[in-house]
Amino acid sequence: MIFSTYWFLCASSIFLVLYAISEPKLRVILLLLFCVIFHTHFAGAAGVMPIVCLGAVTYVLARSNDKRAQTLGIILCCLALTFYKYSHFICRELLGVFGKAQAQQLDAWLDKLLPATAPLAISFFVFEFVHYLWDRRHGKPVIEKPVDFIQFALFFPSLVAGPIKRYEQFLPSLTIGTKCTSGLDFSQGLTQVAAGFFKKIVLADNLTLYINSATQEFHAISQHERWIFLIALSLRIYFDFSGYSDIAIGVARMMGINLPINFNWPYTARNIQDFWQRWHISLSSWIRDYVYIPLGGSRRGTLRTVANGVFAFALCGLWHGAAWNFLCWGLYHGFGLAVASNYRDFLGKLGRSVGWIFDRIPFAARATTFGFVSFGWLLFFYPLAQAFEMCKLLFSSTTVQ
Amino acid sequence: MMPKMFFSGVLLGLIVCTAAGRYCASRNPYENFRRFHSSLSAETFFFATVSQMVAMINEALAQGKIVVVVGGNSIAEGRGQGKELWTTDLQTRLGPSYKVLNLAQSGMPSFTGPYIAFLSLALRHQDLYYVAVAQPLYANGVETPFVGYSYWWDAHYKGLLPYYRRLDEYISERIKVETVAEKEILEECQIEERLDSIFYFKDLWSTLAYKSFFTVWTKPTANTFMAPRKIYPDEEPSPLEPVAHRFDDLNLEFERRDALRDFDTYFETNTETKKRQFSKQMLDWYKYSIDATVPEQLRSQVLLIDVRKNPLVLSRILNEEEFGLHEQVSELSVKLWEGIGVSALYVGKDFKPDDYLDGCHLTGPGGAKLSAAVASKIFEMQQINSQRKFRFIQR
Repeated sequence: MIFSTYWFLCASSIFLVLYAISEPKLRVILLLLFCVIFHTHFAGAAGVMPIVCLGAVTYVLARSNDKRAQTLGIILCCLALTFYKYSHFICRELLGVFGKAQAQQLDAWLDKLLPATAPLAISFFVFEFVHYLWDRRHGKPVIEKPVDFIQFALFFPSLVAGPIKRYEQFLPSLTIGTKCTSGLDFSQGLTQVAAGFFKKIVLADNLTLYINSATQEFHAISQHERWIFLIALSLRIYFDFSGYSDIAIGVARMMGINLPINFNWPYTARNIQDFWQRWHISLSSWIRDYVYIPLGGSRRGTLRTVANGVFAFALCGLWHGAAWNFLCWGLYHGFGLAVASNYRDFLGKLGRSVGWIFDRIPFAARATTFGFVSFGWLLFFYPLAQAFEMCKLLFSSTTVQ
Repeated sequence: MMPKMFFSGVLLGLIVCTAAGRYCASRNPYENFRRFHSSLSAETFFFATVSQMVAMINEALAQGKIVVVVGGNSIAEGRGQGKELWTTDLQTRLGPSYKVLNLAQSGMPSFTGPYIAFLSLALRHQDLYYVAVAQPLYANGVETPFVGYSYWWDAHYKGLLPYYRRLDEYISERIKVETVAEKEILEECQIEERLDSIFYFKDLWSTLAYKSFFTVWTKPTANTFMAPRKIYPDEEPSPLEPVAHRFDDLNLEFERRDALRDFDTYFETNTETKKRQFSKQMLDWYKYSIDATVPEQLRSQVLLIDVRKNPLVLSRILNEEEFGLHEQVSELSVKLWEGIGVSALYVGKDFKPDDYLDGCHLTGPGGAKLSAAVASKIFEMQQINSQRKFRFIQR
């Protein structure tokens, strides 16, 4: 948790004061410098190099007016992400099925080749670079100045955990922010940062302690405690992630720069579609714009729409981590979305009756959506076998001491 | 107008909290203090600060008492002894002119926490003693954080410590050989303590946590986790029977690992005799570390104790050769401690299985035997020290 380190607290405090009292031109340089320091400090030299290379390639290829160059850029970015984040998974889990010995050999070779952990925030970098290259491919304007591109790529508040930015919204906001940031921006930003820290440190971290303790004795706790655990699990990820986003958005706001909101009361959603319009909004809109719509979206019949949705969510799941449980979590949401979008048509009278109830009693719709999402978090956080076992225990009153 | 008010409020809040923190740092918040029991220790996320420990010791010194600070792990804390706490017995044996402060905590290494508080005061107070249950041939760094809290850096940045050249050099050498991950932790810790030396947020937080409200959920305090920690009594769930009566409860695998005490680190196999002997490199390092950790001028005020493990458990988990090595480690450790001028005891050779709650923790009667040994040693140390003081005044 980079934002709750004392280094970040001190370094960003000094930076923000200097930023507030500086001339606009100096602010740009200061921000650039701090972004580089921030990234180097937390990623280390080994983590910075791949991003610098990938950024340079993206910048150069995006400037070209040749669509093939931009396509090449997108492929390179995706390959880099696959290489750093998914090589071991592909090798162990997929190639291992065809030949265990060869897969082990390849895995050992990859061990030597790959750093111990993937470069810091590579998933976010790649998504932002792909967005830029894709938009350029579709005729959107180029980022002229290298300084602007570096600011877009390395903007420190959103670097580690988003929100995933769009350059056409971010760069104008950056220009305005560096030219005229106000005391009001600073105070509102600071309030949001404080709210973010409260969510993260007071709420999420406490829930984490409870969850860690309850996980160990899930068999032994009573059935109602298991349901409390499930609610705690859902609240924990929300407070943790939205707290993090609040800090990022708040810090940017203190500089007079607006970042897109990432969470909008997601647990009040009335269906899965609504949930994904409120949860990690910058990611779900990215998936929609750069995976779902290019695949055909909802324009090619029901079956294709369902397939596109399931594929997009499978990818969304894998983006969170290289493991089967993330893939299953993505598929779970993909199928959930398919059911939520089509049950009224497919289930005939029964479907329409259920839909009628959900329309008339919003609480039932909200509770059902919350329940569905909460079960999904079991898949997200635990290995598959454990998640299924926990799910089973939620409906069992048996306790084992 | 609004931002101005807002920033004034933020600044004022910061100033008020800092002033409150500094005030808290100079006072002993604990009422009817006996020890840092489980609800007042790091295992339930409660952190007594080094300033609080210094304030507790100062309070006792101001009453003209000879203060005995007890540090170390759960054996020193008296875990499981309930009302028959060994330090209460030690207080009785030492008499009213002494004040025993049991500042040990479960899992705490012998040279941190209360030891740092001792370091900060001992040079100016010859009537201050430090007694710790120590693991033989194991010296962690005084600067090593205990559950994320480095008492050393806290005291260092707050200016509570006199300058101990060799100790400073030893810490610098340890830092040089740290891994990247360890250096990152250290850097964070140093920034935290530097900030705390300005804002005193830890002292404020710890005092509020004790007196007013707590904010961290822990399993042992689950139902009333927000309640101030002062309301938690020092009581243990139910007095355990000595282990001799419930041997099956023991995790023998754990006990064996604990009893073997990293033999592979201490010993090397002689290529000719094929027997295990102490590793010279390891011993040299240990001698150096203990020599640097306890400053020369304070050694007459330090007593280190190795409490032998339960003989019943040892006989079940170690073979004859291992038992021999186990004893060698303890005896050598005591010899090394005494060699540098620190008082040392290897306690437990005459203890019976009924003196132990488990593999290492003592029952009330076991604790009484420990306190008897410690009390007589303290009297001895005090006698020598008072003569020293006399000679010093004569000069």
